[in-house]
Amino acid sequence: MLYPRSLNQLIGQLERLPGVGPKLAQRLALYLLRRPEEESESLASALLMARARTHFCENCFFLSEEPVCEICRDNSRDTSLLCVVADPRDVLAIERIGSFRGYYHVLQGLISPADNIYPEQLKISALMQRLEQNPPQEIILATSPTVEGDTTALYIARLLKPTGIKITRLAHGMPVGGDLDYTDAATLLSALEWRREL
Amino acid sequence: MIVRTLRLYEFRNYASAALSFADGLNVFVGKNAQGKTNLLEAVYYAGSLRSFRSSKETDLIRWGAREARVDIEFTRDEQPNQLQIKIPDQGKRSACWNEQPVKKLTDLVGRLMTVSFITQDLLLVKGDPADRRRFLDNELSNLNHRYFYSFFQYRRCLEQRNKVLKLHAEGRGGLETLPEWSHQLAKYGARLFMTRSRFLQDLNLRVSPVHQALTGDSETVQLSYQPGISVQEPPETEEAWQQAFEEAIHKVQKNEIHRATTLLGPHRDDFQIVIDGKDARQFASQGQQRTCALGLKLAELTFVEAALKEPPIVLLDDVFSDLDPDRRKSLMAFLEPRSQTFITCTELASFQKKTLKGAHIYHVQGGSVSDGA
Repeated sequence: MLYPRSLNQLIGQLERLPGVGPKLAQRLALYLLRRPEEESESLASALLMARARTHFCENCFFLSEEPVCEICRDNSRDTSLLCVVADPRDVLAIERIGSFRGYYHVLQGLISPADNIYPEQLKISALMQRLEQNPPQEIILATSPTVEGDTTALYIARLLKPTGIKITRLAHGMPVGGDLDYTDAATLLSALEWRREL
Repeated sequence: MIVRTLRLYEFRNYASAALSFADGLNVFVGKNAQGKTNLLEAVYYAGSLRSFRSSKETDLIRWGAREARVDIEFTRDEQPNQLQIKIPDQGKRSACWNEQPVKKLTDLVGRLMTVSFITQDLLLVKGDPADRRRFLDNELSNLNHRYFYSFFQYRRCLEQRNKVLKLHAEGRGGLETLPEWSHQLAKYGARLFMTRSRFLQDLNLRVSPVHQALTGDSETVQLSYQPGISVQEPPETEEAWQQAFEEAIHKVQKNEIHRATTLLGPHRDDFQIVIDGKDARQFASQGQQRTCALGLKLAELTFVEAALKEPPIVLLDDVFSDLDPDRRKSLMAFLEPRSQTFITCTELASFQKKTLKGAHIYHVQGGSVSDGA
């Protein structure tokens, strides 16, 4: 038995979302149809609204409804620190902690030739321009500890070297409050490698 | 290390099967294509979290079923352990270790240590360098977590670096990130070089005595590492390997850009096997090559035993058909006092009566097993 065409189209659209497989797409579509019509309307209008109003901050490339995002507009933050991340989600993760008061720069990805992502596809030259105007005292390269994250950090560090700005990288190691016993092997290995003197 | 029980659900050609084992020898006997090797594969899978013959996980699921399951109970350091692995046809596999869900499945690699000898291992001597690299990678990944992760990271760096070179040759990308990829390649490559070099040095000391025990001859076997970069003497430290690798890359970089691929590195490694001064690949007879391959595996067994301070599980797939009666006897004499052993064969007549005493024998037919001495 086949679903009606319009329902199939909805399932097909949902399936294209990241992390959604055929089964979940079916479940979501059927759920949406069961709920009151207003819910579908508000979902659709929220989607269109978000698309129409949000774009990337012209300074740091985080998301914003204004030309410049809320964080960049905040004058009370610490201009001596700049944190470079791959993805807008990373900004949110660091902001949630509430203890970092510097500014951000979102690269919009990591260098990965296998996925056709080269430095020119990322906001790296924009970063360099930004530094010429307002050089911070320290740049924190907060890319993930993967092969691509490390390579991206190394590449940026090489470009930044002539500026003389202090460059740091997020540490990797033990989760705080974690039991040694329960830590996965890869994390434990990296914690051993990055150990430091007391 | 002793496997106590094995339960399979929808695994390969088994709808369900429950087996318990003897501490010494366990024999799976049956005609061809009945599912004997699948039982060895299940034990291997529980130890390595990968199959020894197919790279596709879903091949392990019985035709038409939605999820395969392997439950195994074994002792290590005399402690009983329980491992349960589920392989669904869609989505990620999951596992429980002593009834606790496991977050990262790769952490389970090597909890149950096996040393296997299957048909493809016959290629160890006469096969391609890739066959010998697979031998190194399989053993070292199970024993050494750092090697295991470095292996995947190296492969990823290699893939990325090759893509940079290829796209550049096609005029579709620049070389601006090449220095970073080279650096990363050398960093992870050095770990593989160092670990493989040490392993082969150690194995070299073990292989001759084992070979002699197996053949009853006085032949000596020597292994020499041929790393994928040219070095006068193999470096002694990882840092020295990294430096040697970086220098070597630097020298060939122009050529690599021209040829659009990475020319040097552990992915080009090999090791030479020499029997009584002669290269076994070229000069050994087919029988000699097989015995030599088996000798290498048994040397590996003593290596693992020394590392774990207890013998690993031994899995032998249809080895008897390639050995004459004397060598079968020597092989059993080598294994018997040592390891719990699982053997598949087509007929029990290949065994000496005395060997089968105390052994647990399973008859395997069309995906079902029956007990029978």
